[in-house]
Amino acid sequence: MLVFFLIWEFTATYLIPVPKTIFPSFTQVIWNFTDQSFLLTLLSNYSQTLLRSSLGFIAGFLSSFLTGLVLSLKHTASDYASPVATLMFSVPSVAWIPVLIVLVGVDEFRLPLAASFMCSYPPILYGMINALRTFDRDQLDIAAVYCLKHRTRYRFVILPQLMARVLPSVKTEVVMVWKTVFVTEMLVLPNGIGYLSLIYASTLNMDKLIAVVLALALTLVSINALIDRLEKKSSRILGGVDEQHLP
Amino acid sequence: MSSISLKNVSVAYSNRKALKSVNADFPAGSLSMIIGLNGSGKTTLLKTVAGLVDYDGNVLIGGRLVDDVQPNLRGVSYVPQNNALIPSLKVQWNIALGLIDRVRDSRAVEKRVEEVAQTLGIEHLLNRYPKELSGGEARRVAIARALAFDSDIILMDEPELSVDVQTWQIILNVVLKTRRGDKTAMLATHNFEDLMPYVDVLCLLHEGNALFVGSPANLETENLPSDVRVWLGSAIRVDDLECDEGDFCVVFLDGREIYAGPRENHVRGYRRVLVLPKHATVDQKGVLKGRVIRRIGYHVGHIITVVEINGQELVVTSRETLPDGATVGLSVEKAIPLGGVR
Repeated sequence: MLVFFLIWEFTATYLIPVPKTIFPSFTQVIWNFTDQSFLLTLLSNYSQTLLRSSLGFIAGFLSSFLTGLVLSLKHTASDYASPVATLMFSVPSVAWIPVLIVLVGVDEFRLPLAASFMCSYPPILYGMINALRTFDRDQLDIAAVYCLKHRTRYRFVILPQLMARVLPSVKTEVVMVWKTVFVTEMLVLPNGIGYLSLIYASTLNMDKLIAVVLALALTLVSINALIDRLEKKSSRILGGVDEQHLP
Repeated sequence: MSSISLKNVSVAYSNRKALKSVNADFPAGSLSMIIGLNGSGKTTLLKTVAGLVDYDGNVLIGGRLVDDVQPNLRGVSYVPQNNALIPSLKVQWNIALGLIDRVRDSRAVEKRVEEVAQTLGIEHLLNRYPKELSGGEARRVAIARALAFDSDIILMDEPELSVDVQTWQIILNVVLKTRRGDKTAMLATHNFEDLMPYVDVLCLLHEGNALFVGSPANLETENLPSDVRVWLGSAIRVDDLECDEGDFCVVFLDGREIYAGPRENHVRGYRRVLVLPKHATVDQKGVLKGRVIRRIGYHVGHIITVVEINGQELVVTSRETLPDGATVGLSVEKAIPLGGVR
């Protein structure tokens, strides 16, 4: 990564014969983060994007997870739901934006929320249905024989398996949600980092534009790292297993 | 203690019938062995008893009809073929799985887990995750889970899978211990050689049909389908039994001695043994003389032939095709005693 930044710095400073406003160096971009007014503008718009993405994603994730759990109770139900989920999953998330503009209107809150919901619900549900289908049948049998309560069955056997299978798709979808909200903001909204990027692009503020993109990239990398950690620990967390002691 | 009865039990997967009107009784406290070729319905029979598959007919446990009883209320513990250990739980939790909802006292759970872990020699594995176990260790953990559950009935699906000789000996000891205790044990297995002398009820399945259910002492093999005889061999009557001071016994067939395992495998009065085709080979130097009746199949590059010896049919292995009616010399290495040992 350091090498990449060094090459960028060197190329922008010495090799590419274009004005710095078109191709700023790495230090020039980073310098923006010391500019208080830029930082305030970025934070204010970033918080909007963060709120939209997070709420939309949480709503989509929870609804799809609950739908998946309900489907897990009856195998035939997941058979019926599967084609619908597959169809919805196949639609690119940005393709929902024009549909949603018509359905919910150009609303600062409802539109990005609906877009991020549509971006996360179908793929996670699709992942849940596939996870249910590839469950280790013997483990379910074991749960049926040994666990007296449904709660124990879900806590110790079903949920850890589901999470282990669903989390990789969650990782992809959370990134997609940010991208969708970004595009929505660029297209129709008056704030958010998508909007901010468009403003900086139209005023040829390349250093600020790249700073915004860098902030977005850092966010997505952090989210990925966080979910990676969660993925590794999820089964234990959901299993509620004390590392040392039996119940 | 609970007995198990199957009355006209049929199981179908899509269009394929896995069990076809099976009737079988397994007395309380007995050790039963389910044998058969792959796809004969062994696993399905165990799952039927456990209530894990939909079936037609009736299953009675301890004389009580359990068709509408959920698996967790049938009082059975089950060891599936692939162990099915829960990957997110440490070994100690996997073993304690059946106790979580049933035993409130955590000390009691811990004690029970330690007890069964000790029985199976897996105390050192309690803090590991299933992925950190070898095949044999995982097998022992799955069996420990079943033992910890302390049900009246224990069902094991091919417990010999992926275990070495030492582990198999441990498992064998555990199985025989449950038999001496108050449990009813049912095992589906391909390794019937070691268990046969101890089995109370033998259930022989073939393409979903129960060809034989009863004491191994009553097993007749002459009318079984050829493909069953090719792997099962022949149940025959022998003349006499002698055991030396080292506790090893021999039986006599046509005046010639055949090794028949340790003394503890034999019951006074029983003179029936099972001879596997791999233990009976055509050998021109063989001291037993038999007359070739017919060829019935092939098994791992060998020809399987039925030979008549002393008025009984013996399924033997030969390297070449033998003409019907020819007299051949035979060597019989081992005879497995049939008939429950208590």
